[in-house]
Amino acid sequence: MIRCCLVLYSGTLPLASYQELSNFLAEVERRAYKQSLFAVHDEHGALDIVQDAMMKLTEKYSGKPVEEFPMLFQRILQNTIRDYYRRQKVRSLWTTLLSSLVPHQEEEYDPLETLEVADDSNKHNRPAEALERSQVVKLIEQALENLPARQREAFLLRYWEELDVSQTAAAMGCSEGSVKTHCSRATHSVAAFLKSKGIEP
Amino acid sequence: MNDNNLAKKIIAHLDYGTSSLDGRLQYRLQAARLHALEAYAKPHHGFSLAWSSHAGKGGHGGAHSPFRIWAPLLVLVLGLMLVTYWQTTQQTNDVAEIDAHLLAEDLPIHAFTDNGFDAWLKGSSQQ
Repeated sequence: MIRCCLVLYSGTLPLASYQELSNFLAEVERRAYKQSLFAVHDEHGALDIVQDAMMKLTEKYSGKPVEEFPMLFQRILQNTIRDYYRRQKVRSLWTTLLSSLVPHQEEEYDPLETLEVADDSNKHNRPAEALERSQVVKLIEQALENLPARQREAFLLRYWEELDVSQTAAAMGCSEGSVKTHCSRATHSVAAFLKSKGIEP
Repeated sequence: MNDNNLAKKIIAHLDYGTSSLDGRLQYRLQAARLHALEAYAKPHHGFSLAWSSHAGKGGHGGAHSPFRIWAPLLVLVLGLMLVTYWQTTQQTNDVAEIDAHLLAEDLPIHAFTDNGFDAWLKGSSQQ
């Protein structure tokens, strides 16, 4: 009976259950984290953004049909990233103002502490191949980080999240033509970057 | 190679990178997901407007939807206007009723403003 009412409420699509929502978030969380990381270049910030986006989806849209989740979540995620940019802007303004008043103190640090050590050496049978692949991944991620925000957004929504052109346009709030242009430019920029590093994508 | 094929190759590398995400990050993402899912089962507040049970499910929007803020105010203003209108028409009706009584009486109207007539009425009622 309840299921019947839920179907009536949503029109034609049944509403998502707890399990469906949980599965959706589990499937999307890693990509969402990477997307945020490409955008904000900060691990903690990216994690906060993903958590905020998941909270907003659960609180406000958990009653929607599961088919609408990818689109809704991407809109929320992109808006949360923009909010983060705005907050960072305000914060950096205040930091600049305050740091000009406070005398600068030099901190001692060990450069070795910042060195990241790869811990996936035992994961693969062919370490050389794994290393090469992880290097390509790092270069691609670097190329994506260097892209203009709108190009990166369009590329990731269209090809990684597999939204179609109209959904991507709706999520980005622009025309379908702009999406196609952004995607094409992003693809060629990444390919050109890889080529400049001697890698054929 | 066209754009789509090129993009798919790039995405395949990205998928590989995501699948080998650091265990600490995976744990934090899982914790964030579970925290978000806690909000799924939270009951709605009992003291809320009738339509607010659907507010969290899209429709008119969330808790900060303009509809939810303006609707009670609109009802209040309409109510005040109704009360003012009713009071004005009621007063007019009362005045009209008094006028009708006065005109329907045998006594002329100026008799009610005459102090002597008033004193005579009081005197005759005491007797």
